[in-house]
Amino acid sequence: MKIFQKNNYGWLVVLGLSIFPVFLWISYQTPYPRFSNFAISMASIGQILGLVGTAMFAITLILSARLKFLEKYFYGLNIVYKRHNQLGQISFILLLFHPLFLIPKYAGNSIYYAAVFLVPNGSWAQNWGLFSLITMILLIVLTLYWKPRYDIWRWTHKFLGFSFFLAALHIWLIPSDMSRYMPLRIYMLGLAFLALLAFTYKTVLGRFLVKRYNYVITEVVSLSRVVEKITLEPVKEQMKFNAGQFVFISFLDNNISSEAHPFSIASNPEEKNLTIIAKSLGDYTKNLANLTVGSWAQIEGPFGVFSYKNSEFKDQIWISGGIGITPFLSMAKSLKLDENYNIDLYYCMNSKSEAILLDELERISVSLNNSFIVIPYCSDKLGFIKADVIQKISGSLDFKDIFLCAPPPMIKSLKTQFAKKGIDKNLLHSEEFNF
Amino acid sequence: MKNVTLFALGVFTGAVLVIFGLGFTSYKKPIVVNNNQQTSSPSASPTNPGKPPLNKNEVAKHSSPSDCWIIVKNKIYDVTSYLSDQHPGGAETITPYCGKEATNAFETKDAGSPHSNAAWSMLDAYYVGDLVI
Repeated sequence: MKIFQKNNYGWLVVLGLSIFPVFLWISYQTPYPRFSNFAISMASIGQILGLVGTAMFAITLILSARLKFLEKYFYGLNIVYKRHNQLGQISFILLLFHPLFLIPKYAGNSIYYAAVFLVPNGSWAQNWGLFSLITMILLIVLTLYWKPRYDIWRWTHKFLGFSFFLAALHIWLIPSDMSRYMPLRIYMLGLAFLALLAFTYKTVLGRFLVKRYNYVITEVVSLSRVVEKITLEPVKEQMKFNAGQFVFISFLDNNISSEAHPFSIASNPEEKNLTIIAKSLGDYTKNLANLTVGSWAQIEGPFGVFSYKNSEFKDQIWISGGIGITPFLSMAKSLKLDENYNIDLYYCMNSKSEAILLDELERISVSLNNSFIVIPYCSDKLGFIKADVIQKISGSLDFKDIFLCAPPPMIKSLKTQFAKKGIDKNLLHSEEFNF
Repeated sequence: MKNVTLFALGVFTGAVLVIFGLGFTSYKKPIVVNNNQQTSSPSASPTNPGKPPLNKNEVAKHSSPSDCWIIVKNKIYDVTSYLSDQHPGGAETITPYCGKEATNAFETKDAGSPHSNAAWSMLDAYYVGDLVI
């Protein structure tokens, strides 16, 4: 059945963990029925919304801690972040309606008491919940709709960990089934504890606890007006990685902000030095050209499951769009003749002037006796590449793995075209390049 | 997904604005009607002339969960209908006081923390009469 694809394993576990409190809640024998009249039924639903919403909020926090083991169960860090985003929104919606559904029971039939219920009052257990929700609303509006500049966004987004802390206070103190039924209490507080632990590890104490490798810049080269190649050498410990993976780098250089950004690795895992190739797209990356040789960088990683070795077949089609060529360069460099891979790499760009890595790739092609070939494809002359074209040039698409690394719209379009041709989704591997 | 969230936020904001608007503009405390369909729930009745005096002995006769009176600050309240799982602290925190003096329990929840103003107002709806000493 499709939902048991490896991609969805982590997501199913997350949903299971979020819904489990409902089973505990049901198993609790209350003296009076849970759905005897309107007010009590609404309150019961309200309780369920609170339990599932809080469990999801906790897991959202855990997913944000960049824990390596999660990559296996979500098939890549970018998928982990995608689920973090979705789960955060679902939990937010459930928690918004949690207090509203409680109103009929706690306010009787009085609209005045309903209003009183929604403002801070003498019950601190309730107030913590209210403050948690208010801060959540402000921060989610900021995150999803206001969308300030990236560095401000990042800094404010972290405060959602504090919102969760207030929610944890609320569930710890509130008199309800949460306080009366031990199994439920232990489960919810346990989950909350793990969430706060993850948040503390990554965000509060990240500087000390998260493993980072120290590297020093040895070369900064402009490959074109907008593309920089930066080479780094390990100070002491060298980071091990697989071709196709990416890292988060914070440059400790006055010419650039020290916030961490993701970069695909362009160098061969067997080399001592690490090379990244990046396009100066925004506020941060435009400063890459100003990096100085000799300044340090801290590298966190490696992440990503995008690798030609994670495949079913050795006959493969690689499709790159723009700067998405970077992981393929690393993969091409690490190909070995005796491994018998057969690769067609479609190097797609807007125009020939962007083909900065073509020479290097063609040299690799020669050294591999053309078992690896590069097909440049420029959209200014030929339009956007299509699955039909690939099928014509590479022959049958059967029994081949297809790897895509390009801007999200290009990946989405090609995936749809491949699906129409009946290509198995498990043979399509992608790394979206707009984190 | 973002649009779904925005819609939910809109519904929430609308509901809260309506509740605040209507709720805080109606200052007179409205009468709380008990809408449980439970069978025998003696409805709150004002002071009752020509009936037994409402002293401690009388109150003590209503000392079970199915017929529960409590005394708070020298006033008597019939909270029977409230016991059917409406109490956030659970019915079992009230039932030990059925038929008895419950002022301290109500004022402190037996834990040093007071009930909210809303709770005190809600109690009024269950008023039976003043305690006759």
